[in-house]
Amino acid sequence: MKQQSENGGADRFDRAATRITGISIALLALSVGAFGGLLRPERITNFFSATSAGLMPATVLLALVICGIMLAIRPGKQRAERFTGREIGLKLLALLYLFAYTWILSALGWLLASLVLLVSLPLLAKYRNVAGIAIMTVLVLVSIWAIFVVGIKAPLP
Amino acid sequence: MVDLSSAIAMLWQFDSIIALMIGVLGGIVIGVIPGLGPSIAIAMAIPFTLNLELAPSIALLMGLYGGSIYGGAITSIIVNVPGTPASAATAFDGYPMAKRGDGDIALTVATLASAFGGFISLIILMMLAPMLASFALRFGPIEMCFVALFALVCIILLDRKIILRATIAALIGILLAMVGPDPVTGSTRLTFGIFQLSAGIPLVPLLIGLFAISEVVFELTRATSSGATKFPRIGFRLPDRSILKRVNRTILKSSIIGTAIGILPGAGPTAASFVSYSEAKRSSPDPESFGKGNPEGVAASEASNNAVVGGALVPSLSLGIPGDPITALILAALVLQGVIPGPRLYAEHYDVVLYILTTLFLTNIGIVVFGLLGTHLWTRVLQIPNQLLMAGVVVFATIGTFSVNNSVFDLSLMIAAGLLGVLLRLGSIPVTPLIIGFVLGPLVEINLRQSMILYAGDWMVLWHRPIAGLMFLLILTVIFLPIIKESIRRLSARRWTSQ
Repeated sequence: MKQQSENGGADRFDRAATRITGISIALLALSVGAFGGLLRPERITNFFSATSAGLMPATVLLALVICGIMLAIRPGKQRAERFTGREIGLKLLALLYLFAYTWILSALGWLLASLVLLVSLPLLAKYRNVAGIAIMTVLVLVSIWAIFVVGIKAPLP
Repeated sequence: MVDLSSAIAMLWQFDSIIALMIGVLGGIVIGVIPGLGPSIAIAMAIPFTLNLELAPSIALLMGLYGGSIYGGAITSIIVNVPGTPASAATAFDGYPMAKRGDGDIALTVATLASAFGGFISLIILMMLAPMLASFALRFGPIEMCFVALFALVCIILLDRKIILRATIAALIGILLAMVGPDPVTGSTRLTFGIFQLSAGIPLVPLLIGLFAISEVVFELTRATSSGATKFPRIGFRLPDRSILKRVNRTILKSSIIGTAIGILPGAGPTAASFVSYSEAKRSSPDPESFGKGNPEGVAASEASNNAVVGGALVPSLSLGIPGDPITALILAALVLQGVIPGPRLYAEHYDVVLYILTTLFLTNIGIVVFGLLGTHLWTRVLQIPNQLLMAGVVVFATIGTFSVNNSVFDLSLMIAAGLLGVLLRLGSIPVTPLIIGFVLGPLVEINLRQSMILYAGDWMVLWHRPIAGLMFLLILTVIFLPIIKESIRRLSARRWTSQ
């Protein structure tokens, strides 16, 4: 009985998640069309002409809106991978952390910024072996220096 | 002959040989690590190749391609965790073999099968691709538009359970490719006033974000270590002569299957390994032994997934149409190096084609040498904790992305692409059609609009240009044939039950 109710709940969850995905895609496509300058008069004139710059993007956006609506109306039977709100939040936090790294990269330079990341990221991911972190940090930094600075002489931040 | 000597001269450079060795070794290591695979390996290598000359960059990419597909087999056999999805079928028999103490035989069979699969597909690539390329020289914009559309449709229809999601992914890819200058008028589109986007979205940050960054985010928040403590017997040992005879037959058959599947757009090494495994089981005199440690199972899966490499390069090199994300990445890397894949590549730069073939040949020799000699070393890679590996991937990916254009904006794009990758995975939308859409979108658009200008929107052109008409029919067949077949099946089933 419990199994049955769990399955029922699971299906509802899948359908709801798919509906949200579909609606988000349709809304996003509409906003891209509206704010991306596709509806400007010079773009709309001669719209179906081969020289119209807006023809293809508008067609693709329209198709995206239709697909998004179809996904929302008929979510299908596909089971989605389950994520809790906490898991999604953690993923977004991880992305924010990586964004912060790219930002301090230009402020501190590659060596210091990468050192901070190589030490802090494993610690934040609950890895506590200091020796392991130290070896990996040295290995990666030396490799970066050898490949980018000495090897291919690429410009680094 | 001049082309061949030019190709050999390219290969005879110290840089090329070193790049090939690094590619094979790096590819095997990346293939061994679960979660990382050929796509991430090649996406991360593209920034390096931009700072290299053509010869070493092709050598690096080919080495990574072959090496990373092979590397997945090692993890499948030793710890029953496929290093790449393409080696999942290898675990069915490889792991039971390792558990009963024949891990060294399984690794030997996997290594030899991978190399022979690669060799056989290379021979087919050498025969088939020039024919296709010379035929494709007759193609005008309308034919190229339909060829690109055909590849796109095949990839969308690959899994009929997720057609809508795959279509959405492909459309997003096409849309992203449209950011920047219009290919006909040159006016900018969809830039939202951001100046840096006026040249379009660069490929490297997009690929690294979608593949590497999103994978890192998922791996980190999963927070499980891949550390395996006890390994079964590993090393090099040939099976008995009677088994070897059966294995050889399986390798040959699976290599042909793998190459054929590789030529088809979208199917890729994972589908090839499963199809070959099923065929080997079906045609075996002892099908019950499959799944319990039959070396033929390992040989079938590994020969076919490596044979896909040559097969996938047939349409990629001769038509410029990638069949999967990995070849899309390789094509992108070639374009960034100034080599435009397509029918003209065979006419104008046949030396480059020969060089690609030679590096693929050497990659397969490298797989045998490094695969068999380095077994103990590769298993050590599995003991590195995930958290440390992912930190290394982030640093390499970020610095690699920055080094391409010396641009901080590219790093923000990379993170944005990472966010897109995470959102797509949360919404169960596949990434493969997005990449193919991004690569093929501009090809479809420019050829479609050129055709509209040339033929003034006259659809009767399909009648006058039979190749285009046939391609159009082929697209319609691919879309509607399964629907018609399903309807006929339902109708006949209903009629049968009513009788």
